[in-house]
Amino acid sequence: MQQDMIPPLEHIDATSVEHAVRLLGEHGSDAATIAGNTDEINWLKNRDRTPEVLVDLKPIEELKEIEETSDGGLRIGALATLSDVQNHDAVNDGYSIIADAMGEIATPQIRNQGTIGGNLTQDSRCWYYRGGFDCYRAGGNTCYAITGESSDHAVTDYSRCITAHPSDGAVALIALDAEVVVRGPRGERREPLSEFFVGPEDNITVMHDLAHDEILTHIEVPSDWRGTNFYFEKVRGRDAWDFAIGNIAAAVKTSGGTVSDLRLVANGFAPTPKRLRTAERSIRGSRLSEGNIASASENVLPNARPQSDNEYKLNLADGLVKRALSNVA
Amino acid sequence: MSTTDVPDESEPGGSDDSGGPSRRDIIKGTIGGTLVAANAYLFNNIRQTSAQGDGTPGVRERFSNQLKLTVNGRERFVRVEDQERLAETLRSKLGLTGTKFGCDRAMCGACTVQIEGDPIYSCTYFTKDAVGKEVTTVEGLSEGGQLHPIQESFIEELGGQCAFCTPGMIMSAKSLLEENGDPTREEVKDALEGNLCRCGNYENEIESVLTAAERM
Ligand SMILES: Cc1cc2nc3c(=O)[nH]c(=O)nc-3n(C[C@H](O)[C@H](O)[C@H](O)COP(=O)(O)OP(=O)(O)OC[C@H]3O[C@@H](n4cnc5c(N)ncnc54)[C@H](O)[C@@H]3O)c2cc1C
Ligand code: SF4
Ligand code: FES
Ligand code: FES
Repeated sequence: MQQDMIPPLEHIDATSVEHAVRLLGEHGSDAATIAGNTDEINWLKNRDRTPEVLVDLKPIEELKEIEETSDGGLRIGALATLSDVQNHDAVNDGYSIIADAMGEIATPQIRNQGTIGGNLTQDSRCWYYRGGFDCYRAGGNTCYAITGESSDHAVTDYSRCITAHPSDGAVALIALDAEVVVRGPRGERREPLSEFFVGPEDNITVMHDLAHDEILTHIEVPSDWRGTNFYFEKVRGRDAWDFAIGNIAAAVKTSGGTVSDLRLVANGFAPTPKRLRTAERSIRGSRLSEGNIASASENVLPNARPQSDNEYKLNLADGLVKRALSNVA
Repeated sequence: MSTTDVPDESEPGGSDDSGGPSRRDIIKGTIGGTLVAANAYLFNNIRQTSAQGDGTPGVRERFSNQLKLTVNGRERFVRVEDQERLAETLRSKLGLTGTKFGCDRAMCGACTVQIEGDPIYSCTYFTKDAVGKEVTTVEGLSEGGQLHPIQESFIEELGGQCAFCTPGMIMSAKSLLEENGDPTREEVKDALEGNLCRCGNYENEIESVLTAAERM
């Protein structure tokens, strides 16, 4: 064999969420959770992670369902594939920004296998960390990106680690005020998706707040933003496969020509998805005129502290806000 | 490409499903022919009691520790490790070497096969997860020695230069044409976006798919 064999492990099919939680409790840190396994499998191949047991959520059919709730919102099972979400009628009817974001993720093959839950729980894409370097995030005592190549990295809200959050799905869902539903040994909890992500200041080793034995079961989208004006854009090195250098999701509500409320959420700029509140504040309550858009899209990351090779992201963020506000439809 | 495509000596002599014998079949045939015959004899009489489509293991799987896969319309019984990926199983246990390993990191598409008609990367897909599902590889396209129209058009339009990416390209193209018989050039590009071509032969690959669409 010439390719990288994964060391032997036991692959257990979870039959229900309770079963999965129990298995994760029993096996503790020897176990890893997998859904579509498109992200996790690379850690196994690289032998950067060597779990003895894989707890596979794939057989849990109820977590694959996507449905419209009675009040017109969406309830998306965490195990729905990115393709399923992208092509679902209820998603496209009123929440097209989610489908737009899904369609920009990776490639058809990955979208057919990777899940929306996994898109939110995926790990950092920092090339040093993924390459097996013993940086802060991996338990070491330096950040190789700060001393080395950081062109894809965060420009704001970081502490010792400057990784940028990679998810395209997250920004679209946060723009719609989505919530996540989580189940663990002590039952169910829910929280806004915007609070699900964890920056390095709070915990440098993780990207989200799930405990080892917790399962993300659903993503719920309230009906508040249904059918409003949306814009999604992703900027990347090439048109397929690549993660975002920067992306933006905008949801804008207007009444009588003025913007009554809006959300501008971007990834690629901070270790967690970033609400661009300064720009939001400057446009809320006013008209979308060329002048207003120009002033709202100036210096949208006021607290940024870029590295020398990712300073360009400041202009990128400004440009994305300008394009979003000029093109919401 | 990080790997080269050499025949694997450890193959237990699975036959591939293509029409004519390939160079590799002949090598493998001599090594494995006897084994296949013995295997078929031993297991023939309990074939009926094996797993049904729902993936529940039957007698054969339980006693032999084998999984039943449905590959290119045929039932294949194979012993699989829990951590084994479909591309490994196809290539080194079932003799279906048309599926290639390029990057082994979900980043090239050379390993593309269909699961229930949808393209996936078989380097990233656990074999175990294919139980109860229809797997289609490039070997499953030709019928009775007759190449599939997509294969024909890849030959005519020079869709393969070194052709290492071709089996994966063809599988992505097949998935597209099954859903959309009359794609635009843009739609073909979108469907092939998960397949890299190191030769940069994209124009010919797109032309091949468009030509195939006209004929199907
Ligand atoms: C080549 C490549 C390109 C990519 N490009 C992009 C891109 O452009 N944009 C983008 O946003 N993403 C991209 N991705 C990431 C992709 O979206 C994720 O790999 C995919 O969605 C993960 O889903 P999965 O089900 O395969 O997760 P898995 O690999 O199974 O899991 C990933 C992680 O999440 C955990 N996990 C998964 N589901 C749950 C759950 N329900 N509860 C608790 N924990 C869970 C697992 O334990 C694991 O740690 C890319 C991935 C690859 C491999
Ligand atoms: S950015 Fe974070 S993940 Fe990357 S090298 Fe620095 S500490 Fe490690
Ligand atoms: S071998 Fe490259 S995507 Fe699977
Ligand atoms: S890689 Fe050579 S033809 Fe595509």
